[in-house]
Amino acid sequence: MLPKEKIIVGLEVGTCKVCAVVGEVLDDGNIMVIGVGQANCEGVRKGEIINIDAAVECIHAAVADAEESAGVEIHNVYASVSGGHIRSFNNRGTVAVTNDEREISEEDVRNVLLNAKAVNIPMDHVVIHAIRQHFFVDGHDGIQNPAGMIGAKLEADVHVIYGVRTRLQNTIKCIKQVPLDVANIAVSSFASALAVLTSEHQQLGAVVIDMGGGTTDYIVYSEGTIQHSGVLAVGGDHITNDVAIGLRIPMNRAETLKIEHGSVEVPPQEETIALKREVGLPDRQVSKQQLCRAMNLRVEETLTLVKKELEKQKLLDYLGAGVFITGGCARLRGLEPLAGQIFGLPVHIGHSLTVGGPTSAIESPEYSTAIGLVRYALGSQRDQHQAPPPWERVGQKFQHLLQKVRAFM
Amino acid sequence: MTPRHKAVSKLATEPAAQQEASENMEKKSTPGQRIRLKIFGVGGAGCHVISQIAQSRAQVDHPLEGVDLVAINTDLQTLNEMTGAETLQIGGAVTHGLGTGGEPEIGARAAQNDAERIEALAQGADVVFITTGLGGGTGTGASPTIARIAKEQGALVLAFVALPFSFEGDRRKQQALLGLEQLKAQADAVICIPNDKIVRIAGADSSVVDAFKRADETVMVGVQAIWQLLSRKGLINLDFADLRTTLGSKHCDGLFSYGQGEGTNKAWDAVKALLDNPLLDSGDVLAKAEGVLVSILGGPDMTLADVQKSVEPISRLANRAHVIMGAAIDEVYRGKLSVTVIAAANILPRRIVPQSATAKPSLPHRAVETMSPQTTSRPVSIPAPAVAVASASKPAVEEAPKAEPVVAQKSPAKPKQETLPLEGVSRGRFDKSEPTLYNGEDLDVPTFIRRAVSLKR
Repeated sequence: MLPKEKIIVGLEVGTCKVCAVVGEVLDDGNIMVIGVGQANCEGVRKGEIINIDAAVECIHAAVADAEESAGVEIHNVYASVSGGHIRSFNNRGTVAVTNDEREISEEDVRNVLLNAKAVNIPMDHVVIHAIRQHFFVDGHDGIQNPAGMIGAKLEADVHVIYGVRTRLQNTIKCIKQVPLDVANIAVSSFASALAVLTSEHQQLGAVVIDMGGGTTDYIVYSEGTIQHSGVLAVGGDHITNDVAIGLRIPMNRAETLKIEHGSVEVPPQEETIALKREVGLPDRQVSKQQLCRAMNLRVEETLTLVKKELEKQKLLDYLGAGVFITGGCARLRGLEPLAGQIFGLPVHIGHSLTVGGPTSAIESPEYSTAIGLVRYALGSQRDQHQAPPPWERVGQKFQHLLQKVRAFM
Repeated sequence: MTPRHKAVSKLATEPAAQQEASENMEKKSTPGQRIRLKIFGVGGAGCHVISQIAQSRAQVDHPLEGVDLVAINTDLQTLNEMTGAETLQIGGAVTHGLGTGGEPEIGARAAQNDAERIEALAQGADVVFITTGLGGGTGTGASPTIARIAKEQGALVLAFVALPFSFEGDRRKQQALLGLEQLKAQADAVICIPNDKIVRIAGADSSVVDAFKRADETVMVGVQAIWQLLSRKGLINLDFADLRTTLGSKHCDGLFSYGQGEGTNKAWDAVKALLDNPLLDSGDVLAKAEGVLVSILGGPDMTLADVQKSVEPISRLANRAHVIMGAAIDEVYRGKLSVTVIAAANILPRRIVPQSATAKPSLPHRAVETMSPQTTSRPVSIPAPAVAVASASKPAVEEAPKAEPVVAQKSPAKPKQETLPLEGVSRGRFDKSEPTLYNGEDLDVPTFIRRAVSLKR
């Protein structure tokens, strides 16, 4: 079945950059990236909006860039959200199969999923995703599609991701002020995983770490489903901030220094870097070792925190495909060996291999979230076609199943 | 909680249980025979504590038996009501036997006017405990002077103070913090209990009278616990130097907790009771602590596994801290175990961490390390150079943010290394944003600062 829309736009309002990706759905159902746009972002800190006007302007610039590059007009986007307030947990729902033959009906499946999604979260929070993991029939684990099976008790596990309603609203409000329509939202890590992981990776088990400017989002897949996800409000900005404080230089210079000379591996030989002259400021020499040491400590700590979270969930042994790092920080020099050392697993810098398009877009780790949003949109559109009414729809061919943010739909 | 183990917080709520606990304490040696201890209760709150100790001491075999109790106040009326303790009225000329009206300056003058009488009282004491409630006039103003005088008489001075409830208002809080600073400059160690935490022990709907009483009781239990810690012959010895290493120059959130266990699961029970104490903020205080002192008291049947079981959960929680442990044996404690913890934390992280940066050593190693050569004769008076070394080993500690500059004169008995004013721990561009907390650490502060790693090597 073909989706209604052939052009889908994914928009990521990140802490450092706004990225927009225009994808076209081909006749065979694959996605081709036909245009990308980006703009440096202001007004966002740690993944959340702090200045709406500044953010609106940046989104506008990025979307205009994408329109130009793709040659289409953009009215409607899928947006990603992030921030330290986003939390997740796994929940289980149960129904008793009531009909005489004890055959599980489509209705039972729908009910068990609704049941599993009825979660108890704080009042001011809202569920962003409730993603189906797997079913149990009479306690038997790992069942993908229980409809038609015989059993007395049907259970379903879902992974619930939720966040603070008002904070999510701010991102959406910004986009609406551009003005653009927001078709739906997805959590950054989930979107990135859709772009980076093939179904094979999802089956083997993998963790996707999206290290952006303000947040580090991670998500773990294993046996084809999401096992765990989380957000650490630590990102590239923190690296820059550490460098600025450590070397006593202003933030913008620290940022340039990080990009041009920085590495997360400390060089064995001491080297000095001459800071370029700015008006009124004398030349300064800074030590490359000091620069790299500050960066190394921060990145090592952040990755170790992610590893600790995975250890806590006992997921480290299920990551056969290894670690995939995306986001702007994936460009840090020396990241692959450092991450490999920490996790003891193969480390890949995430390329969005699940879609077609120009290499410049696909191989840029910054774009993976926006590209993933296009895939996410395609999936949710197909779901809509298959299972009306919209509030009870159940994704049948796709493991992800979305719950809309009620406030906006 | 089973009746076999009781947290002190619970004990404080039930007088009957408290008696029982007192009976559990040491029966044979009167500690005062080896070390002369005096407890000075200064001001209204201090006198309350003293009278409570005096009352509970009326029973036989109390751990604080043979300890001199002294109530010091400006208010003659309170002193006249005291029984079972020496009393000293100070500042008669200044206040004419009335109180200070909440003015620390008057309290300070009162203590100075009667310096000679305080001197006479402090004479011959090896250890002087000063217990007081900060925020008022006498406790806040007089305690630093009393601490200085006691120190000049050669005693080790340990202060156990309560900070005012927040409902007592900002002014008292400011006065209390100023007094705390001055007291820190004079005393060897200061442990303070923010009274607001007492509310959690007492319950939010307890009366004000009750809350104050509870606060006094907590101070009393703390004094007893530390006294026990110092006076018992140690298997793994803990002495005052250890106490000072733990508490020295990092107070403010210095806290103690205490738990007892009995029977086969005694170690576990004791630790659980200890951790359940609301003073510990469900372990948060330990997670933030930089120095933790664990003292274990058990019978001759205490096994190494018991020691391990009781220390391990604590050091796991206090993973950033320098953990010092001691263990003592007492025949009375056969089949029982008592664990006391004193945790000290700075509000701001320290820049240079001399020892605590290293991973916690394994237990036997630790035991050897803390085993002091003098097991019988305790180093009661520590020569001044040792103090200098101790404070030099942890230089430049950021003081509590609200602390006012220290104005008190430095005591000649305690040469204190000057601390350089450091810029606050910078969060740079995240200064105004909500802190990113992870296990009590603010991740917005640069990693190298939190780990105290120098970028230059």
